[in-house]
Amino acid sequence: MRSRFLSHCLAIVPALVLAGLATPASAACRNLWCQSSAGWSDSGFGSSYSLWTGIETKADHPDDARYDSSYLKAGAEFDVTAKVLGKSGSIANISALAHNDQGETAGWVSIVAAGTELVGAEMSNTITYGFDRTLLKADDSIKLLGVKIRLKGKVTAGLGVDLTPSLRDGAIEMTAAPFANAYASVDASVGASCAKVGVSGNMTALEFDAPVTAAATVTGGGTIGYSVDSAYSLHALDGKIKVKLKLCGTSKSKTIASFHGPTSAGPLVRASGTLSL
Amino acid sequence: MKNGWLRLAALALVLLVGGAVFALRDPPSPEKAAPTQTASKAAPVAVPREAASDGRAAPVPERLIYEMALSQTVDVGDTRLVDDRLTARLEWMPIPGVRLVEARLGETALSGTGHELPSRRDLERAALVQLGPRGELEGVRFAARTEEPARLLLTAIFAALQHTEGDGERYQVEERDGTGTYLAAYEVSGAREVTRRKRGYVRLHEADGQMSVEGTAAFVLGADGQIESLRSRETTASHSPAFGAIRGELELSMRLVSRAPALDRALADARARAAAYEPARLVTPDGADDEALDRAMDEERAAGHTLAELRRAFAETEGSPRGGAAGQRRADLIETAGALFRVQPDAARDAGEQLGAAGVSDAEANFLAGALASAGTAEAAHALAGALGSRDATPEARRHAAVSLALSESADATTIEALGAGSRSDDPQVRNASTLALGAQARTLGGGSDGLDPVADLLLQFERASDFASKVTALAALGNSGDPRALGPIRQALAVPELAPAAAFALRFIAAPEADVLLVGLVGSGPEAVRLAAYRAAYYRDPALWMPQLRAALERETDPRCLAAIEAALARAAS
Repeated sequence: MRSRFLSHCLAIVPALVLAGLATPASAACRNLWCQSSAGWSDSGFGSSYSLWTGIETKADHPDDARYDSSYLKAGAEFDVTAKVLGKSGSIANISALAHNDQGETAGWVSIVAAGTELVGAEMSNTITYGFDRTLLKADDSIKLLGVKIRLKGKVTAGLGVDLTPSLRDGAIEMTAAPFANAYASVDASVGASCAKVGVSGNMTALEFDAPVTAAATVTGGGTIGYSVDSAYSLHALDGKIKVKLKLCGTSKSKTIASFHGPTSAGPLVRASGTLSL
Repeated sequence: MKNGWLRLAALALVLLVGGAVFALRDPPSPEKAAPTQTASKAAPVAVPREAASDGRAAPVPERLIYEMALSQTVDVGDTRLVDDRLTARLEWMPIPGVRLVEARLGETALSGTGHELPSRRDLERAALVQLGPRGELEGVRFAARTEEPARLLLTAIFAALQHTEGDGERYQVEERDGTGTYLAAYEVSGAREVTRRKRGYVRLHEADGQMSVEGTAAFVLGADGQIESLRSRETTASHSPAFGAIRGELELSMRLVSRAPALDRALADARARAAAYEPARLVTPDGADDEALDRAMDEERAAGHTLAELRRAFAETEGSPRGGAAGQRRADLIETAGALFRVQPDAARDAGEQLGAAGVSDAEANFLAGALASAGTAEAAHALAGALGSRDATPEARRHAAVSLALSESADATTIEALGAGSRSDDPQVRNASTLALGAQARTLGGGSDGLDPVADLLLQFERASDFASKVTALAALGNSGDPRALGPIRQALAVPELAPAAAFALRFIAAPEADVLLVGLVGSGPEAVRLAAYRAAYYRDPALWMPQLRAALERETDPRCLAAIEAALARAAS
């Protein structure tokens, strides 16, 4: 493989390990793509992501006959999960990928939210998909000598992708910027006339976007011209939620979530050149 | 709510006493109860069996007077929320001929924090303790006007002092308190000492969940088998995802200070109460149901807000970065509008009309449709269906309406019809979103389809699709449905490399063993894209079934995306 690219891989996305539950943080960059995943969680709240971005070629499958020398895959895809009040769920699987297989090029964009596929369409024109929706609900109650304190938690997310594709057989050019911004909130109520409960604070479950600009052209003779520039921006599990109780003469507050998750951003893979396969 | 808050944890301390209604299924009526042994067994102690069975005259009805002291605390994490102290005199008067005891506190001195304290009047009103044939507590009968706080406290006391007879020096029996049924291990030592150890709950009165109890009670009995003294201490423990560890402690001590014959007049009054009081219960009726509490939350969140104001506030976030404070604000506005629509269904209808009006921008449609999806009510779903079907609606608004219906918790003929029309739209995005939403709504409909069968349309759509893109869309819609009839098309599609990843992911919701069989085969031998889709599908499958599969896959898988998908599925399975 002949390459003249400069690859900036995300070394290690800092992972916050909480309460004994760790999801390994890792970033693997190989050839023209990077993959990274990390998670943060305690028993009540959490989030995680898994990202793939860049260009995949025959060089990534040297021994697999199903991939010929014109094989290309380019774009980005990520999965995001969140946890609120102890309940975990998938928030989003967002994928914007173009393929070239045996000379035929096509692209597909898919947005799955909370397990339900909302968008699944061929790439054609410049478009932005963006949805703000409630994607995870959970509840929790305790009862203190007949006084029920009920909490309802939600994760509401803005998610989607900005997409500019230009596809023709044997050539992919695209810019894709998938994003997911998920926030946890809690409401509370208490079932006693002499009691009140309030919730203060807010929580970022995950803010994540991973723009990529990728171009790859099969130029014949087993050669591929390529250019890829991908980056990421991450802000994970950050904030504080406090429940304030006035229980029939007693005032107490209980912090049910307090996190200072990581914030980071930077390039993932930036490269251009030609490959002989 | 679906699963459950009743994380029982909830029951927390209540542990000490109670929650939802748990009326005894077949409370023995006083009139029908066995007349002989019960008179003696109604005493809070083990009366020698001979007393009731050897033909001697029944014991003279008595009134036993105890001094008692109780303390109970509840700690949530390291915060003490409940701290009660009670001293009182307890009058205990078995009613001859029935398994009932009239119990009445007097000279009560109660202090406490963290919950509504019972009134002295309620606390000192007579209650009827209903016992089983061996002296175990079956329930407590109260006057209808007795408020919940007194019921809780009195039930806790009577549960703590119950004593079940048994054979031999060591025996184990099931007993019940206000929280559930536990195993009580009795040990008789010497002529007068009896120890009861309780551990664990084998069943809880309310929902499912986890709660444990541990406690010891030391009885000292008189020569006639009556309790002379009792020291009881028990600890209950539970866990809430939000609040963490919840620990309750109850200590009760009592000492017999006097006894006297029961007066005929007192016994007659007690019998009159037995005819008038409520049925025996171990758990008090729950004053606040979840629905009422949820509504209270919505009312508080929506208070002072209007649709117009919220829509305007959302519009003001346009042009701001998607994340950060603006992202938080948008999420908060969506939730607040959803609460408003639940409290005011008319506002949901207004939002639907606004969404279906001409000239609505993508951002406005996003807000209106997102808030209607958040509301999750039938009115909101109908409002979305109306907007989707509106001739004036912009394509963006119709697309957002369809997307929200895909996430809606409400489905019926109105929504299915609107999505069916949307799936035939000339606008490709509306068509795509509506088709996918049709599948999701089929899943929401579930068994209660009421004659509606959107899956049949989707199956036909798959069959008629002439290109890969159309087939993938139909497969995705069938995947959203989780309908087992999708297995046929999925099997076909798995044989086509271009369709196989979509087919694998479409297995995620199908409640049929074959779906798991197919997925296991795919993760074992498929190409990377198919394995990845299968692992993503496994995320939604039965964790107990998939945990071993995923652990094994973690060992053999090499593709980093697949490994990440396995990790995500394992994390969910473990949560």
